[in-house]
Amino acid sequence: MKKETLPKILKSSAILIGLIVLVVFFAIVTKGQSITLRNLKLILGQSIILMLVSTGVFFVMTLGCMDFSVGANLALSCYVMAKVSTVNIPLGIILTLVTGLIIGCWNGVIHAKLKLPSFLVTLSTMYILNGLVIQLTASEPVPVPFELFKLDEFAFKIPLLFVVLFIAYYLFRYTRFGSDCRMIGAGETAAIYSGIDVDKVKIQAFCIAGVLASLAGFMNGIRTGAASANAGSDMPFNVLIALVIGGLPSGGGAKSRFSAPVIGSILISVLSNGLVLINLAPMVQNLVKGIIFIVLIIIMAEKQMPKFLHKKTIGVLAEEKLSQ
Amino acid sequence: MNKLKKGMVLVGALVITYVVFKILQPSRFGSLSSMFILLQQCMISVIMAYGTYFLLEMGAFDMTLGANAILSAIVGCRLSVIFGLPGLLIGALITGACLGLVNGIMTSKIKAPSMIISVGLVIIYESLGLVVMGGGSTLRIDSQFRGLGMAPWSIVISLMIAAIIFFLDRYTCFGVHVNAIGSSEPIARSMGININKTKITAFLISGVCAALMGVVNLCYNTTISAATNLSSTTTVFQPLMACMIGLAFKKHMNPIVAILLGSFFLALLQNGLLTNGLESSMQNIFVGVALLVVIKVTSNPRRYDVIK
Amino acid sequence: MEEQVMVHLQDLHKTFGSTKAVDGVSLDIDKGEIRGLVGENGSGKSTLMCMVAGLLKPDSGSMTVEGQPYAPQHQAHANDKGVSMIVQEVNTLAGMTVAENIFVGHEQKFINHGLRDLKAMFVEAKEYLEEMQISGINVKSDIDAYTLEQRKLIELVRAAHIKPKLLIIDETTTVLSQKGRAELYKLIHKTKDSGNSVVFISHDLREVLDLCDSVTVMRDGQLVDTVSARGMSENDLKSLMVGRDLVGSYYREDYGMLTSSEVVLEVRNLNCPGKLNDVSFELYRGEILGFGGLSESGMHNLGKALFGVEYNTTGSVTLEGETINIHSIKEAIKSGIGYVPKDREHEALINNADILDNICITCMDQLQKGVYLSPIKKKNFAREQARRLNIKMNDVDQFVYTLSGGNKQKVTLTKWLARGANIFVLDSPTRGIDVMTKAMIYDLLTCMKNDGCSIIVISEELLELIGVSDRILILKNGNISGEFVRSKDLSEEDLVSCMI
Repeated sequence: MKKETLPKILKSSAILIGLIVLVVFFAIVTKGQSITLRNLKLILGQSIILMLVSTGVFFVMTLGCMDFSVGANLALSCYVMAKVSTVNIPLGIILTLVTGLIIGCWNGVIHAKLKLPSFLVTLSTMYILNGLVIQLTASEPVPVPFELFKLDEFAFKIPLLFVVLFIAYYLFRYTRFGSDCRMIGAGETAAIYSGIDVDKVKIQAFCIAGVLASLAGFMNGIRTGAASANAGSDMPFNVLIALVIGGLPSGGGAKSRFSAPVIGSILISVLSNGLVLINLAPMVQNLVKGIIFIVLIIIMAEKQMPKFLHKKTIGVLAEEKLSQ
Repeated sequence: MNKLKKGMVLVGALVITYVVFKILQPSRFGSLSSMFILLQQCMISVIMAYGTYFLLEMGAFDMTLGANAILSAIVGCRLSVIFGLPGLLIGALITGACLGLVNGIMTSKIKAPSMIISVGLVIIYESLGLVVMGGGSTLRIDSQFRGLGMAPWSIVISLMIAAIIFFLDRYTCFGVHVNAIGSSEPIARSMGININKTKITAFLISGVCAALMGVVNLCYNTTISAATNLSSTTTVFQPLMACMIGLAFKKHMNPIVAILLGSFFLALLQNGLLTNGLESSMQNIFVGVALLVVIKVTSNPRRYDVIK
Repeated sequence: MEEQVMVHLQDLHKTFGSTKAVDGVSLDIDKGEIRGLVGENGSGKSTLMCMVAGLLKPDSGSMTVEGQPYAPQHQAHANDKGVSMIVQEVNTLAGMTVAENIFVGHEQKFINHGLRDLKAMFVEAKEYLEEMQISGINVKSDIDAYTLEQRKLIELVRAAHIKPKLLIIDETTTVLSQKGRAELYKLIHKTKDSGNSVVFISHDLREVLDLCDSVTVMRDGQLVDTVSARGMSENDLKSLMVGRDLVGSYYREDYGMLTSSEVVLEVRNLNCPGKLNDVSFELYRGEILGFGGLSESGMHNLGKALFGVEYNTTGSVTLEGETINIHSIKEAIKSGIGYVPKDREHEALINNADILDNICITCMDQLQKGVYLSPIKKKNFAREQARRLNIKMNDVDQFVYTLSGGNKQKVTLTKWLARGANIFVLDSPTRGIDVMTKAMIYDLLTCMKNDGCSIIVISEELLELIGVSDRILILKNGNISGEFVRSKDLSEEDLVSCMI
């Protein structure tokens, strides 16, 4: 038994070890610059937004689906907040979250009820929202009311983040919903045959992703002080890579762990921050992330999928459906 | 006769769209010269649509084609400064072929959802485009190559691609194998068709077509800028939709013609909306809505089908 | 003697998971011989022939054709070596022309100066069709335009056009009309007359005896005997097919037991286009009702329809006096129906999840208190349930794909027993399961019956139906074509006569 447990512990904490190695690496390369209190605060500030969004997408990806619309959702929510808050701040916050809920609900309903692949649905949502935001902001940022800047304090943001994480963890671990999400991701057909209301669970998951993205939009608004069209444009990929790097199987399923969005987001924030500190050109930064992502996918693909299971066909549109 | 009738639906849709917009905007829409410009643009995007034909037939789909087109065009543009026209064409096509090949191998060999892999590759291709571009925000092609993107040549090129695709589809084993795999992969495998080889070849073809489209588009627009954060994927969906329309009418008319008509239909629709006061920033909205509509109309999932 | 043998199989083995489908079969087929191959469902005859035709690869063993070593990689390769097969299922490629279907895998033949010569292909396809006197088929049109029987005949042309040395025909006659059968028999005799061999697999023993020179009998993946068809009776063959040691202790032994007259499930005019046709029946409390038929008879669809999975069914299902919605799986489950599908890997179980989740998945509403679902409670519940059926495992957190077929089936049954379902629809419950688990499942059925559960067993294995059911209904082309009450004298033959 002992022989089995040691590698098991190593395996389960591989991501944590990776994080520590990364921190140490950047600390050495930047000669301690990266572990100053100021920089750590910066990393934390960056990772809060990413963590909120990836926690929402985590549920969607556990289902085996994908949500690309979170970035555009963030931008639109941010705009709604900036606009409505000038009239009434509580109303602004509520409408921001409602915006996210509607977008998430739209994604979920179109995907589940019309049976269209989730990546196409959410990409389409992303285009629509992008167009909308560009139109609305008319290419110049809309300022956020001054009073809201006061909220840009860790004293407010950290407790809020913990509340969100706690609720999400509770949902995932201690309710039927979380269990259903994992089961659908692991085997949708069998889940249907076992009486899980797959459509309902899917819509709920997309709603959570939508609301959390709009909450991130709110956070983004109070951090940057304005709503702009290109806010959150790098979000879809950053979320995806955070979740994968955090150890989420690329097809979702029973092996999904809640640590993925939390540790993954911190890891990506440390990585992004480190790449900036060592003065890497922005384009190369993305290249590095992309390569890390692909390498991780290749390594993990072999481990996470039993041999007999065919790869999931997220990107496949059956030809028989096309030709009818 | 019935076959022809159903094929006419597409032509009818084209005519009706034209007439409706012409009535709405008699002065600004639908002059012969503007239609010709539209046809030129449509001829460019149809190159990529032809490229995705084999992939779609097999039920596969490549989201990286947009990033591929941009990266290949940038490489071609850089090389054209040194080697002239051969550099432009050969450089771009080789780049496109390589990217297509990488894509094909990755998606057919790695046991992970192809969507997820594609996203990673798009990000890599997009940032590679930025790297190759080196610094500036846009790249300008020498005016001597402009002709490649203009009327006679762009149309000649896309007709050439159409002919090649038609030939491959109709007169080679590859075409039959693609058809067989699309019809039923297990049966095709049991008949000794090499599934991976066929798929990778199809990805290769789509990569080359994407690169060609990138070059012609570059010559037409004279400048190119790199894409970031998955924005290159917008370029993929217009050709994809055209191809889906083409495949939906496959039984009723030649798919090669149907793809062209589908592509022209989408361009006409978009142009009509633009002249009716839709602002150009709303183009994305058009793509988003059209994407949902086209896929819903051309696909027909059954209850309890698993779609992720 | 050596020149007499067309195909020689030496010690072939094939296992699927933990099931030995073919277990050390050696066989000679002579030139100019029509060989019948019979056995119960799951006896391995199809698997054996699929290996010969290159559809499956044997785990071990060797084959020769006319003395030459033979190891087909795929069907087209087997065709080149002179072996072709017509399989049970429809095997044509939709969306392609008739001619393309005939020559799929052999396109190389028509490549002329690098071009695919369509005209030559059409001409040749037409010649073959004419040669076999099949009329009314245009080689240029889409294969979807033709009926099932015509498509089967086209497959016949595909298999025959290469002039095979060995032609394998697996259960093809059931979908053919009298005329189509005549064509098939003609082809078989022609193949024989030209000195080549035929292997003919069928359930219809009469047909086999009439057509074949000799008959090989298989049972449980092993060869029982090869006998001459002359002087053989159907009953002789049958006793060879069945004679297993476990018969007797295997199935229930009670006869003439009265079942309750209380109707729990009443099905009226169940229709499903192309699959079921006005099916009506009652299920009584504590009854085991068997459904038999050919695999395409609609009986598998019936199971799905009762559970609400078939999407375009019409008709009414009344459960203890209440009509239930036949389009909702949720409602079916709520009213106490438990369904064990035939496709265990995809529909019954979530392979890529652990036993715990697979058992608890149906019992969430019982386990969840308000908005709290206790993981500890879940685990204890799953352990307790798993113990009831003796699932062989380390713990409930073991992943299901690591289990054997029998244990997987136990998990599937557990998940419905745990929920306390009282109507069970079991589709092919012992498919691909070892003998020990089979016996256990039969015992379990009896136990469940005694506890007052009503059970529908859908099975292609007639002996199983006769062994466990109180009453058997036979489906044929979506209609109920026969009803039998449990009795000692019931034989397979009685059932078969209603099936075909």
